[in-house]
Amino acid sequence: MKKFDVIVIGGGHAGCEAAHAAARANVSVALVTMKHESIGQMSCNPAVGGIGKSHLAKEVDALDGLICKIADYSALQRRKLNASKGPAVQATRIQTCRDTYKLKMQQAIDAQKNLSVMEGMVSNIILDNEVLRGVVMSDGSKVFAKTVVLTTGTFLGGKIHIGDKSFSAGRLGDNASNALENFFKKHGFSLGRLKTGTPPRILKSSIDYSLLEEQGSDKNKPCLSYMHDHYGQTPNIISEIPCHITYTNNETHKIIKDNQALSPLYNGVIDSVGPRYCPSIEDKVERFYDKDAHQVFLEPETLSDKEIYPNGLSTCLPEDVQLSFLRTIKGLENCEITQPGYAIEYSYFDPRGLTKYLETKKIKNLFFAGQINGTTGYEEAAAQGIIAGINASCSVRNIGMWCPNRDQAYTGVMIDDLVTLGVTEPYRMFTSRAEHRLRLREDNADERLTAIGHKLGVVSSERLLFLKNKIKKIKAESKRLEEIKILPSSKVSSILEKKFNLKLKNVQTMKSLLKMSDIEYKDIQELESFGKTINSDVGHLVAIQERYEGYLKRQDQEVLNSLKTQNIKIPEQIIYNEIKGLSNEAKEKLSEVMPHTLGQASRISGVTPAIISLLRIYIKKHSS
Amino acid sequence: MTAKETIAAISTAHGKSAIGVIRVSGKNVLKITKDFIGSELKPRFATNVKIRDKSNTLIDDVIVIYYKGPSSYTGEDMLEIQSHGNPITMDFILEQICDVYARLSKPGEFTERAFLNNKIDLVQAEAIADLINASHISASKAAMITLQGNFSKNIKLLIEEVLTLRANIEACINFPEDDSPENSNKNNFNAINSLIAKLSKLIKSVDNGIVVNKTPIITIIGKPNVGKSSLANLLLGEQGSIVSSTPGTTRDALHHEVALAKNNITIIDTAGLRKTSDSIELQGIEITKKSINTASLVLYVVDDALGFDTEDRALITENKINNYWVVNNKIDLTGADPTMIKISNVSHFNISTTQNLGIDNLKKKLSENSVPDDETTGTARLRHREHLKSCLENLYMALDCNNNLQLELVAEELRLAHVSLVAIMGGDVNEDLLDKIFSDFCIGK
Repeated sequence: MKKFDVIVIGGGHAGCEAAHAAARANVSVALVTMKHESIGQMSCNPAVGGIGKSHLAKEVDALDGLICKIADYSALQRRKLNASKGPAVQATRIQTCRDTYKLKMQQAIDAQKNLSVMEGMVSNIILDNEVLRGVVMSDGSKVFAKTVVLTTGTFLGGKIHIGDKSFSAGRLGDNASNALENFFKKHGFSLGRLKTGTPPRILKSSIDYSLLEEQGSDKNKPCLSYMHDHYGQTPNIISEIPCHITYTNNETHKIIKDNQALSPLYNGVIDSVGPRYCPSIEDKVERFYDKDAHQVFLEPETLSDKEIYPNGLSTCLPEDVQLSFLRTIKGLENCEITQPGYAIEYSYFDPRGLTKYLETKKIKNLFFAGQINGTTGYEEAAAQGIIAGINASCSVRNIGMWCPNRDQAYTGVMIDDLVTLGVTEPYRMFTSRAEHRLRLREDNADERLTAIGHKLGVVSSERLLFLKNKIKKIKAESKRLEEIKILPSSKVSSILEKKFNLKLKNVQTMKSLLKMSDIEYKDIQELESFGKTINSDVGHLVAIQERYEGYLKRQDQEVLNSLKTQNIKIPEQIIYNEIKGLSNEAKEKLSEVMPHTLGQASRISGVTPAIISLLRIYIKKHSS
Repeated sequence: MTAKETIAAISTAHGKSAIGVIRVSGKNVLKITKDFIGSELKPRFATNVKIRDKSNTLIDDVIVIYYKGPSSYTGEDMLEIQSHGNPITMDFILEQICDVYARLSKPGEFTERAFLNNKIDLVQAEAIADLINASHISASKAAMITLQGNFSKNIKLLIEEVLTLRANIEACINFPEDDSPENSNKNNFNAINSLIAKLSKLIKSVDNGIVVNKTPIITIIGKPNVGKSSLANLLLGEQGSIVSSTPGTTRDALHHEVALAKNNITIIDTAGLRKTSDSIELQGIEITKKSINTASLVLYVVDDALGFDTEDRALITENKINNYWVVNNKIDLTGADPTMIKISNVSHFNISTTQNLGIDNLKKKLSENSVPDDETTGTARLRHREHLKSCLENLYMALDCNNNLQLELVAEELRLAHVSLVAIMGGDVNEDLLDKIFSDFCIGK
């Protein structure tokens, strides 16, 4: 009889992080997947990171997760986005080789102790008097476990559309997924439908690059993982391949418009909701009819470089229409399609059915992570995966579960949004969702999360030492710069006036100069009184802290002011119907979401400060 | 447990009265006494204090009492300021306190603190739930009154403008590789300055709107020369409008505040309604029509000799007047009795302004009819002012950051400015922003 502490179903980005994290926490884990060779598959565009997304990915890395390290190993192009816009909104993006990514991910999974991969399909979940016991495989065999993490992406009711053709598609066989679907239906899980799409893939040798703009890596080749970015380790790398940029034109748009009726998006076949931030080319042409051109990024798919992913051209027009509009685009005049673009409809579970630990409210010890919760993107999936994996292991070890707060991590923002508000379109991270954006930066996810991860048992002691060393260096350099005084009459002062038009009125320190928006660490390094330091590698981090110090203090005060109310826990057994004075609408909404804290309750739409006051009094009264 | 923030509110019912009480609770109480009085106060002793504005003009002569926590209603340090019961004076004092030391209390917050500090027991707490909810309902009702008309329209316009600017900046930050919009330092500068100008104007209008906003409004209308101004003057007890027997003397709508049996009422005396080609008089009639819209009750005055005729009925229908009383003036000439009768649910009063007949009865009914106003109307307005002020502060900060080319900090200040405005009008900061971004810009690399 097979017995584990944790079973993770699904080997995508959520599943890999969940399984690996639980195994790092020293519990026994089985990763159940259809095929070992599809573990770590990148099913959408071949890139990791980007604005908001690299923030999530780096938080996974700060908890010693896989996604950043693997992306660094498989980088074809590495860029820093928003480099001119201030450190809090800067982001890293890496174009990756799909094949390398998958391979390295499989190696990481295979090498992890406590973690076994099982090939097969899960057809049912074993409940014994409402207690979760394990899963049934499609061959009838049983695998027992204390906890189960479900990370099966779009397996429920996947349906692909290309022109007037449509067919069921899920990575699991229909029978198995029907059986599982029936299980969840029977237990009252609420399901919704979403839609997303992909562009056609193009044969690289059929593209004429001679007239196209090339985009290579940035000079300093940024990395995603703190191991490589801040802790001085060098990743194994592969050869780089640039991206290229081209544009659609009026002729392209005309073909798309003329054939609009053939697109299932427009002829009523698809009525589920797609993401507004990732519209199909049909949508772009229809909604922004006054634009003469839309940008297309030609992204390399793999190191062997045979196929190209034309990012920006998601479509589900018939294949011949796809080809004819592609051929109007500069550089693609003679292109060949290797795989047509399509739209896919799929089902997801309403994430309001989850606690913030990603455990289902209906069945204890069952966790959901990734796209089945209505999100999109590898980074969003990975971040949920690592939280679900950690919490499944916590449950096994009988220690308290954990989820970061909104002022602690983008991961916390995402999970709070999901379990409080639910989704109306595939959820993607944007930095504008985070009210603590100036605090939740790419440069400090490790300072925010690594020590917590170590306590939870998913971060190694070696990794914690790297962090401690970084913090020590930052503190030392910060202190050193604070002790270097600059007098208004000094030679340095006159240099500052000449170079930055900065007239010193009082005595300044070398550190306080970094508050000025146009003075960077490298600028003060050139000043005579700068002196010598062994910590210049963290100098830019000192500068970032200095830039935001005032803002963060103000926010700290705000957080502190609201923390007392925000963090008051609402007892799980609360019955809203019994609370006098609550409106029926409030009762209904609160009962549906079942918020963990007053802070979460206050974010539910329609919940007013007066309702929060009421709850606070009710809780206080019933806790004593 | 001691709450962090100091809170303040007017605790007596709104309206003119002999005295009014402002309560403050929290750790800043000692600072306030120090700044207002300059010496330490002995707990539970009444002290006479003069309150002055920035230019040292005397505002009011008040009594202050200091309660040292935990021996106070809330269990915290508390201050009770007994001022004269003039709403303008009380607002002024409350504003002074809230500008620096405290924030306006939320509905029921004093009682909540009392409960949380174990000053009242569970049985009493049972009642609080209803109390908070009740005051919340009236607070939102009051907010609705203030939010009707131009004020809310202006706030909506401001929100739209902030949203447009934020969508532009956030699209640049979140989608730098898409066909995101032009964002220039200069455009931001202009947009923020335009917001500052509009907001400053709005804050001024909120400051000036103190009287009219808060009291029930009674508008006196009727054909020319039926005695509208004479009636107004009698109700006011002084010479307010110019009274003459030339039809069309009152061309402006004249506002007067009057206290009838403790309740403040604003009386608007208007130009007579008639067909005319005189352009100045036409303007007056336009103003009258506007005054009709703001009124909570219309007094329709007619000459008793002519009676309430079809033309009068047409005027009532035409101007969509729902809540009105008919006042038959000049009964001294017709010899009718000074009585009140109801005809198809409309009250008809017989009066004579020249002989002072039936006036007392009318006053009495007006007083009964004006619903006593509560604390919340005033606090709702002060709350708005507080949000508008913090919004203005954030906009000035945003301007600074923009000058320093720190776009992410401009974005942060604008977010806070947006949050302040939404706190007045309601709305979802994040979702509205994403909606705006995706409808204005083609995003989707």
